[in-house]
Amino acid sequence: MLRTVTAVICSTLIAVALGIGSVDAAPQGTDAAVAAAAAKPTPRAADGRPDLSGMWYRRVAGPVTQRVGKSIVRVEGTATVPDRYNPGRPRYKPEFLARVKEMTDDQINVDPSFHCGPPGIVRIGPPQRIVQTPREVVILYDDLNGNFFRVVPIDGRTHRANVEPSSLGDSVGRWEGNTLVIEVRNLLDTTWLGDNGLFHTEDTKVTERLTRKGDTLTWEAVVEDPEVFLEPWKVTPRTLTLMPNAEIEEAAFCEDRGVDDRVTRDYHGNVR
Amino acid sequence: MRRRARVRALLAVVAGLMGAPGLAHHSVPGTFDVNKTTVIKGTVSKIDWINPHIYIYVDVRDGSGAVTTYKVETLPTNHMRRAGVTRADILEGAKAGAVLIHMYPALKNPAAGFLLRITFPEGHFFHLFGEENEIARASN
Repeated sequence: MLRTVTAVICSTLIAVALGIGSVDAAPQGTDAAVAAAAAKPTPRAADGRPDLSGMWYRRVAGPVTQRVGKSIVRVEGTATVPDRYNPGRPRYKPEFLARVKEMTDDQINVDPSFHCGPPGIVRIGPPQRIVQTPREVVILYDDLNGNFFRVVPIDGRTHRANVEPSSLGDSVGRWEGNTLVIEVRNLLDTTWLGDNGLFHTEDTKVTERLTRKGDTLTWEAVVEDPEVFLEPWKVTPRTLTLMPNAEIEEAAFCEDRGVDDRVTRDYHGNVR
Repeated sequence: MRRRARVRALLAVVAGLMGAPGLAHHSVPGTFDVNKTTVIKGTVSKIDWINPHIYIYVDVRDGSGAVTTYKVETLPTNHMRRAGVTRADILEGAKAGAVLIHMYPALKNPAAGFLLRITFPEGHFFHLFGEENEIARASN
């Protein structure tokens, strides 16, 4: 408690010393920022649908920080641990548990995303940048492993035939009220759904739901893989806030430096 | 409600004891000693602005004049962008002289660590990971 008080006083003194009268009331990434953003009006596109366009904030590693003068300081009351977001995990059929464990134990070697491979759906997480038109929604990602994109038709087009399976699959969207529902098919089975051996089959179906409320975007996802799961896996939803002044950037080169830089077999926290 | 708050507080303490901050790609606790904070002071000689993690190289001179280059690992580039830090910010801050690095020491490599905070000669700093008490407990 004393340390917390001391830290708050220190932060304030730093702010004063650096000539900043007050710091932002609700830095991005805090619950307060989400609440303030949700209270704003929801913008609509010309066709009357909610406009999902924008750059959406998410950050899971490290504490929430903000700039105070020339410094980057921790935002008090936000924690590095435990993880601010845990996607949860699917329930596998008993006959697959040994395989999951084996892949978990050897994740540093066998997880493709540890070697700069594409993370795939749903591991890539919620959209980072959305461009919405009446015909399609384009989703862009600046991931640790590179830039990725999806073009999601929302004008009645159906899943394409004769397309090779891919890590992000083939997406088709439709509006259900104010929520954009995206069905994903034709996924490669070489990606993992998350850390710790979350393998899946090529028959995996993913349903994502994107709902804009004010300047927040909530991402929900359900993964169905009845061949290996006991039940559909409902990924823990995430609510993101709009970053009005930010733009997505090209990802820096992902360099696989070998397993010496990933010397763990006991813990994996690879949430994006 | 109060009970819930107590449970939450307890969970936070337990999680803190477990010391398991999630970080993309590989495990911080698996690679670094998250129960220790060490401090080095030196000049930034190189930055690898790459994914899945950025590396800052810091040349540390000992009493005899020998130089050891520390490999200080930090966040992925997209996390750094969201924290509002650019490569140029670090280089600019480091131009004035030696920087102070608070880091979790690596478990294997004595000249490596995971960055918690970088403090520049002019006094400003970038706190990028960990808690205030992990800075306060720092030892050499």
